[in-house]
Amino acid sequence: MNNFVLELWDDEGAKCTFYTVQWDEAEQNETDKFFDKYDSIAETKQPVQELLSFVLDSIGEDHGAIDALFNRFENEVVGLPNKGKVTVGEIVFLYPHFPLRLYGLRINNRNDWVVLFNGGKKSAQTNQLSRDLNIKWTEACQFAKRIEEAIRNNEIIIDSKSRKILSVDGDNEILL
Amino acid sequence: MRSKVAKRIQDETPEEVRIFVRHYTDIVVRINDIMKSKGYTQKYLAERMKKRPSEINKWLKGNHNLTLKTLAKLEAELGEPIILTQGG
Repeated sequence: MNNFVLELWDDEGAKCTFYTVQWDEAEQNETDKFFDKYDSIAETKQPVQELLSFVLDSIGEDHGAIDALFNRFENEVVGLPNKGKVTVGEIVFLYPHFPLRLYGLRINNRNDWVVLFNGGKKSAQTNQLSRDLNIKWTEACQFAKRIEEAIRNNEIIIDSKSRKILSVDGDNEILL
Repeated sequence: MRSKVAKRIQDETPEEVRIFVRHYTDIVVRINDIMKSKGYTQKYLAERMKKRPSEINKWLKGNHNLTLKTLAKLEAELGEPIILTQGG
């Protein structure tokens, strides 16, 4: 797996801080790519606005990443070089037939820290059959697996008070 | 700190969209909280309301538009207010 940077995406909410990931040498982080892409498509512009409000207002400001708002799956990762279990979640605005899915990892099972990845449009009956989503799901599992590993190996430090994730050197930019 | 992309999209989002999302989410969270505090499962609620569990699941998992009628039915069954209005 290529290197990526774990970086802050939003820390303005009262209840939850969001991180994101950016491939080394990529111009944009994965979560911005997702929102930018679907914001530029007419049919998903409003769902993007709803999903962003759901993330920043409802999760970030009002409730945190509680179970009712953050679907968690513990999945056997198939198709990755190293198989294993990861706990990637899906952020779904609970509205009928909502077309977009955004993947994330709740750190240490807490409600106040989420790493957001990329996502996609649900184009088929199931996520697995939605081609674009399936690719992003697999990628999210890869990111999550590496982040969970970094937490276990104490490569990154989680500062509960400031809701910040730091490298062992106390650096804000974390290369994994 | 907020992502510039998020900030831009948020600035372009009509206020009514944000109000709708917040209210809708608050309602979903409130229903979940009441069910949890009463120890109700979806299956139990379905039995009490003489509905199919799949229908209750639709209400609570976002596959059904929660209309005021649905909310009234749920409120009657749960025995707790779901929506509180000022002066109500």
